[in-house]
Amino acid sequence: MKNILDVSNLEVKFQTRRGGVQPLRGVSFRVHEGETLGIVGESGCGKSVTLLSVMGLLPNDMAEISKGKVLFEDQEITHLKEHERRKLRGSKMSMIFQEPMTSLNPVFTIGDQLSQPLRKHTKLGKKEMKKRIIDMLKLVGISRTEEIIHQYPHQLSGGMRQRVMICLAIICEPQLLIADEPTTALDVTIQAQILDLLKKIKQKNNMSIIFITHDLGVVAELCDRVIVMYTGQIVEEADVRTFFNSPKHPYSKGLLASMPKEDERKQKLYAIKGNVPGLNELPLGCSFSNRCPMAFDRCKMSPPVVKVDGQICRCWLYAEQKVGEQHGE
Amino acid sequence: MENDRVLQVVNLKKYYTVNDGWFSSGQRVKAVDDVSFSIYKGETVGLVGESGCGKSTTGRTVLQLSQPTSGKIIFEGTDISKLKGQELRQIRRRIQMIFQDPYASLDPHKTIQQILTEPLHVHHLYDKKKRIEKVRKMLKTIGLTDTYLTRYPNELSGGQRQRIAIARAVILHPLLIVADEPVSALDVSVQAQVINLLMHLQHEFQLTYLFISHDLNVVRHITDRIIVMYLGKMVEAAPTEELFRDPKHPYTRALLSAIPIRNPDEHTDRIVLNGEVPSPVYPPSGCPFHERCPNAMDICSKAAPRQVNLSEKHKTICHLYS
Amino acid sequence: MTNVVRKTDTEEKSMPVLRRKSHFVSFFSDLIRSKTGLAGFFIICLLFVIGIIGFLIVPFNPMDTETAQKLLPPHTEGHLMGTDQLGRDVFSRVILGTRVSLTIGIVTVVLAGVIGTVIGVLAGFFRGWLDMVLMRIVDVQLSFPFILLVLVVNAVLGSGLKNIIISLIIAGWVVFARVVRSEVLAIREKEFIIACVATGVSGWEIMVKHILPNLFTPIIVLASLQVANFIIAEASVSFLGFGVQPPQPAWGNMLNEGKDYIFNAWWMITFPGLAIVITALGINLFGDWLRDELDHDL
Repeated sequence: MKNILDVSNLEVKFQTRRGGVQPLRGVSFRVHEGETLGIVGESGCGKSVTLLSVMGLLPNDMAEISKGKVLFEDQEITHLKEHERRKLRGSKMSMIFQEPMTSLNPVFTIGDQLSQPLRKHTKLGKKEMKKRIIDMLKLVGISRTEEIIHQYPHQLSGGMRQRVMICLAIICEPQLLIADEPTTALDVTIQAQILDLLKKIKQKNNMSIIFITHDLGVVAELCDRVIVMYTGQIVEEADVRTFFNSPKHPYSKGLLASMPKEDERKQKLYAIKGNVPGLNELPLGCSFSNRCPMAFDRCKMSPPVVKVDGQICRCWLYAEQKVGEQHGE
Repeated sequence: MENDRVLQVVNLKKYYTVNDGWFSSGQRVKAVDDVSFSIYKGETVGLVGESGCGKSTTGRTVLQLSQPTSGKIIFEGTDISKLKGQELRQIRRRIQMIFQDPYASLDPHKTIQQILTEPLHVHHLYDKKKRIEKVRKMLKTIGLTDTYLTRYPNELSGGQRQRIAIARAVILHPLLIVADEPVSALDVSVQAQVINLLMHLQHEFQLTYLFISHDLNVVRHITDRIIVMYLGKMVEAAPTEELFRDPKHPYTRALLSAIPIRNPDEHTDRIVLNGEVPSPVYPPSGCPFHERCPNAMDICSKAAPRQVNLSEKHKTICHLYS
Repeated sequence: MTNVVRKTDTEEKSMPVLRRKSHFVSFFSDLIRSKTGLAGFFIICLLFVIGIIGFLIVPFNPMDTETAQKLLPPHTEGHLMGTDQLGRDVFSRVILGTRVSLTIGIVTVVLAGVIGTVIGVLAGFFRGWLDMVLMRIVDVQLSFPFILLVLVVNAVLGSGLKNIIISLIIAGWVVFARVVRSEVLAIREKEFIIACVATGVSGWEIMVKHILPNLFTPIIVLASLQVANFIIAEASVSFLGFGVQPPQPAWGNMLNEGKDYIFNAWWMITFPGLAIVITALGINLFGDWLRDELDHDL
């Protein structure tokens, strides 16, 4: 399958008033054409930084990509100039954010905002543009299209705004859609609608999606492949079934085990001990070692990346295993 | 049973007026509209629904943090909705609250020791030495060490802060704790810790919880009974297992079916609702859910449904069953 | 299995905890890293030193008139900054004027700050008619130009150091009241205040123990910037002939006296003017840094 995005060994450094931190410590992954990749992790794991650096939206004054490459359709994009970036953003790759209210400009009508990327990236005439906008709004499940294009963001409800955001992101039919927790701020019934919508659009446009979330349920619903991140590194990568049925990394196992289960109501939940460490207080070696129930001597050294049947895991536990060994437990 | 009743909420209404212009008279929003329920000693009652359904307002009104427009809040036999000043402050010892955001619910200028001794100080419990002893014991119960006594909240992680917030609520040995989304703001790996802590404390101190949450997986895990709200009204109330096994109200059915699956091999028959929750300023006539309801009948837009008792503990407010 | 495992068993002990350096140490290490903040800080320290021990280092008595020596340009006969129309040493007068300016700046800020804070807290906390009344007074007062108000009050009270301080306080408390009130409105909606109410803490205790400490940062920042404003206001008022009266040296009245000689004795107006600019600049630099620093901390 063709790769649409190939990120290799990406490192990002932040310079703050209180010294430097490194939110990304060597991240490599690929996104295939037409697949949905889920990136899972907790606060500070670097999932948002990863995607901002792919989009070229890191704050210039404090963040720096210190190492690594990002190939988009086989073109290296980390060194692109801002105006070259702009050609990509909105047309070939686009992004939806968690909070739809702040990501739409309150002083323009929905129609204005939706026509902006079309004007920039296409040569459509006025009538064609309107037709495209209305078609796209219908695609994202908005029925009163003629009305909506004359309305302002504050006149819409949260779910509506998120639909408009999605419409804005896909209006130029990008190859890659990056979604940063787009349903976290929404209610469950609306979340179900939006997830449904994303599935439909993906199939129709053969688009690739990177979906950031902390909700494993959403991953199970939507994604084909999963990456688990912890303190700026990928600790596990697997296809979605393998991930849910036989996770390898103790952190992934912990996350899955701590989900409440139907048949264990009122019982003590499995809980990963301790807290996510800050980026300036990481333990030596494996950064999960201070919370890991399986930790042993070698965890004081940086763990190797082990590949088992297409499942990738950064852990000493599997260091001796040969490629191709059974991974069922 | 009657003796075990901790809280009885009777026909609770909370209306707000919102001003939509400088000179127009305000619009009335029925945030909570005629809600009645009881909570018995030692149980955990879940209050679920989507944003704007009035679950948080109900919780805050129970605590008398806002005055109800009408209705009674009977706590241990006395109607506390009429209490003021000293009497109200006395009651506060017995009902406590845990908030959603542990970053906002602790005073940034107070040390952990100051935060935890304050409730004891306010209610003139124990002398100074005994208070600190109590606080130390409490810290141990919630899984933190004495070294935290001199720390400030901004030196703690979200999970640790929420533990402190929980300790502050529990240290007075209240009867009832209203927990408003206590784990929603926490990291996934920390959520489980806090849920375990809440269950452990309930056991140790015989607490009764009113657990407000939109996370149905968590609610299913921790509660004994669930009350489902929609647009300020109660639509269904049932024991947790029964509700999940056999939801009656069409809204409850849709809500439960919208929970994301737990494994990609699972399959759900999802009821995807049309549209969104209407604005509480202009609620639909009749049943507030009828515009989105897949089972709507003629009568639903005309008359408000009444409460139907399907069994002793399972109630719903829907025309389908009347 | 070694102690790595055992350590993780007692969950919280093994966790590294963000232990902040003491406030004092981190404050200064941050200050050193900021060029502008440090510059402002140095200027302020220098001013304080001059204000406190200035009378020991002045080469001449600033009140001594010596008509034979009038209007000497800088660097003549030991007069570093020249002399004025009465032959007084400009350098000595600028040095001693520092104390007047600092005294006025600090005393007015402290008193106006206290009055404004009390009123702001009362208005913001109790809302209702009290808030209504107090804030309308603030509105009315803010619709007068600040300097005009100081002048009017000063004209009524009469000139002199004490009276200029009183006039500045009367004109200046409103800024504090307004800022403090809006801060209180924001803080009282915070969950930790609601948590206090739910615990049964009384209104007064909430106000004194919880709201007031949380006002510390905005008040300190505002106060540091207001010092410069008050010093400039005092200079303006003295320049117009009100305020501190000659022969007592103050930067403002030195400017007033110097303006008549602006074409033949530029030094009379330049050096006190520079003193005002440097002082205001130093305080503003430090105040701006302080705001960033304290914002960052919370």
